[in-house]
Amino acid sequence: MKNIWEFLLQTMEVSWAALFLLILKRLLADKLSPRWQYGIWSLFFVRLLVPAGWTGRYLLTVPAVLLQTLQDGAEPLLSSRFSTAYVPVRISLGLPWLAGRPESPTDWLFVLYLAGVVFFLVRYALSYLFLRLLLKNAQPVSAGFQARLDALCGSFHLRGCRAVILSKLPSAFICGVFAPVLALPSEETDDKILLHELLHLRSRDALQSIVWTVFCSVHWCNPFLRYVFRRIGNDLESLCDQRVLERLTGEERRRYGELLLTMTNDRYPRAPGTTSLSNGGKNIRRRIAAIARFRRYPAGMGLVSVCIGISLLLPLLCGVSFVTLPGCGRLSGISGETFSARTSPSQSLSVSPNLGNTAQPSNGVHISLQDRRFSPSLSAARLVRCTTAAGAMDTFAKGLMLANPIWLTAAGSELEQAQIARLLDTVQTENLCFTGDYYIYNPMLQEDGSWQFLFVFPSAGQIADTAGEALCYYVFPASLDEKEDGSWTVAASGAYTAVCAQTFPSGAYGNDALPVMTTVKEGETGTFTQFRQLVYTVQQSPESIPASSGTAGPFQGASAVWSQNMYSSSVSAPDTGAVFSFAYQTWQFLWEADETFSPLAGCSRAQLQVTLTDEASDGSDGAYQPPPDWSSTQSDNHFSVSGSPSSDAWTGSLSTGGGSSFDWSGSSIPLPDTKICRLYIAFDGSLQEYMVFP
Amino acid sequence: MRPDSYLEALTRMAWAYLFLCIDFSLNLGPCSVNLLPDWLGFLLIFYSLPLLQEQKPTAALLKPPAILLGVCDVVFWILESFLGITDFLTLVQLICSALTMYFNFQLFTDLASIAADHGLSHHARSLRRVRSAVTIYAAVFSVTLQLYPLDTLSTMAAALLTVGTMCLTVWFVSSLFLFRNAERSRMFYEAS
Repeated sequence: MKNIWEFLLQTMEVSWAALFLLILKRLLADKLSPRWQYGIWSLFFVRLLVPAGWTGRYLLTVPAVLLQTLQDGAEPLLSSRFSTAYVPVRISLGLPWLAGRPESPTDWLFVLYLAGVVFFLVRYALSYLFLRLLLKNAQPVSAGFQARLDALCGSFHLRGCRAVILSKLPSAFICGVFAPVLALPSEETDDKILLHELLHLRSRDALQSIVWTVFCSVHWCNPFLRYVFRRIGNDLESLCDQRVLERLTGEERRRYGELLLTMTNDRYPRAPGTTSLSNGGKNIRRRIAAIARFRRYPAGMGLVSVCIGISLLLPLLCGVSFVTLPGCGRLSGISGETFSARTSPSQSLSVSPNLGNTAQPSNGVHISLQDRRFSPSLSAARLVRCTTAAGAMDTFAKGLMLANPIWLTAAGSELEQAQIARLLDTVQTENLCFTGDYYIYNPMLQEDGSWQFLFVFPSAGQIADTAGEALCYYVFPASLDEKEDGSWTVAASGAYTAVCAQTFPSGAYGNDALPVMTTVKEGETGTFTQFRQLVYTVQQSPESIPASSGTAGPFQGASAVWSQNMYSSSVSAPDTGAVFSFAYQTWQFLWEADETFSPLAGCSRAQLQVTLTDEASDGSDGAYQPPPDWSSTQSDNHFSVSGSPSSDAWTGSLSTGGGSSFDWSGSSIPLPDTKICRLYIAFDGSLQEYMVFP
Repeated sequence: MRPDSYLEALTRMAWAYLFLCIDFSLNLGPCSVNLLPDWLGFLLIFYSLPLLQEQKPTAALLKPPAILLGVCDVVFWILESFLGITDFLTLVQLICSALTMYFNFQLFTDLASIAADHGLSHHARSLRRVRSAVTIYAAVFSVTLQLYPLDTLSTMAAALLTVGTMCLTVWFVSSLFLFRNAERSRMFYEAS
């Protein structure tokens, strides 16, 4: 934890875990033994170390979102060194550390907290050292008492230790871990009390006490956790009582309870590294009640005790709920608002976001730059994780189409607020019209591990041209990154372009007019060009958002007005864990003849053949392979085309190609198997040139 | 509502576990109504506990969990059946699953102890075995689902889990009915 927000998140999540365990312990107080009642705190111990929200899940999401909202509200006004505005609160370690010199009030708050931690640790250390000094100079027990102690250890097979007498001591206790000392009052001490302390020694309860004290210091300013740590100490004593009772028989057990009764009014020493029989009147009464139940605890509960602990381990450590994307689902976001897009069937599609300082009349709700500081929806969006590449793309695409800054924030990097504002401004000012569909085109893996790809959005408008109706597409370049925690983010990486293409084939199967990946090679006979398109479709969630109905809430994103030409009046809600539903690749090979190539002049028939083989099964590493039979038919891996250079219709080029789907499973962007493309040019059946891609 | 005899209480418990182990839902568009709700099972068990307590005093410990689990299930059932809400407070569900694990374990431990006291050692062993198997399976199942949500499991893994659950359910419920039958035979022979 390196700033006050991380500490608050950690102490909150730990508090929920403690509360959960206290409720469960209360329900099972008279059913499971003190051994389970204390042992279940081992889950709490691990929870203290594990950073809150490390899996993206929280025990309670609403407080986490509210904390994020507070941070987003306060930090933009401060120049904090320890924390950054609009960055999600994420903890790397469950213990605090100083990351530099404080500059802002929140930095100083954190320093104050750290000072408290140091103060309490030093105080506990000094009190322990003082006690050790006192015990070092204390009077050792008599030889007779030592013999009695040794006999007790022998009969119960326990390890002994040095014993001393301290006058005015209210009750016996063990102090120390590596050189333990049994401190005794000057009055006669019953054997059962000695047994109790020796059992503390055997179980190294002094060491556990030190560990709990350290964590108590780390969370010193959380009063609830201070109460929890006291309860843990009491449970430790109750467990020791049980161990004593298991070794006593009949009347001795009753006498043990009577002994405890005599200590209800006693003070008791509280120092780290010590264990004491007496821990306060109220706690003594609780322990006596547990002793009375000793025989009535059901036997044979060991297995279920362990199984309950195992089944609770992962939820308490990893959290139980993701922050849901605001605007999706019935109970989404902070206020349970649902996103809705208002319609006006008579109008053409337009979107109306406004992230500027001035509000303009529109159908949407405005989140001004001031408002977004205290927007729980935007803060929740920062905590949302897109767990798959397709999920990040889907969330970003829907956010763009519906001009929802919350969804764009959820999909984008935390520092891209200005870019989101520019994007939405573009959509508004240029009156872009979307149909609700989109495709992913041509993803390319970069050297730094990120991806560059294109969003292709069909436009709701169509134009008629001489070649038939044409569809307009908006092409947005974007980049995709995988973060360290395994989540994915998308950011726009350039301005959009509008492309008009024939309506057939649709964008889902590639289209010549849409961007392609091009590779060009010069040969003797002419220029060889390979055009390639990779097209992905994301599976849509079954939950849909109505295009009409609903009223604007205070944190609702901007609305969209749908074209009356759209056959669907709703769009699927974004799915942060979406997967691809279809992937298609197309190839187009073009050979442009070099007119100066002399054999071309006398050629009556020029033929281009292309064969595709998987790189893995090719075996020849792209080496020359003889062409297939020139009369063979086309297939998915074999294309051919011919033309007559001597005819009037000769265009000087030959073009052929095809496409096929490929495996689209996986959380990242799946790529098709690499194909080796071999191109053969023949004139009148005689092979002229061979070219291979890549 | 309260059973008249120990045997009737056992019979009701056995039928109660049919409600607890089997869900039969009617899909009504946005909502899905469970026609064999768990709270009915807990209600049957709750009214049978006093008679069980006469045989085994520790059965009294089961009353508060039975009430709590029954009430929680009523709330969940209403939310799911009539309001179509399926995402409940996950922490409450977690407490209920821990309590259910204890409840089943304790009840079967008590029944096994009664069986042993009545000289039905074979049934006592069987009840203890099924109790342990179900408890371990429930813990492993919950850990598995936390690590690998149901929709990410392969078909084979999901099928294995389904088959395992069905087998244990059949074993669980049938052991109760077999014990009930054994008690009935014992009481008949004792009466004759």
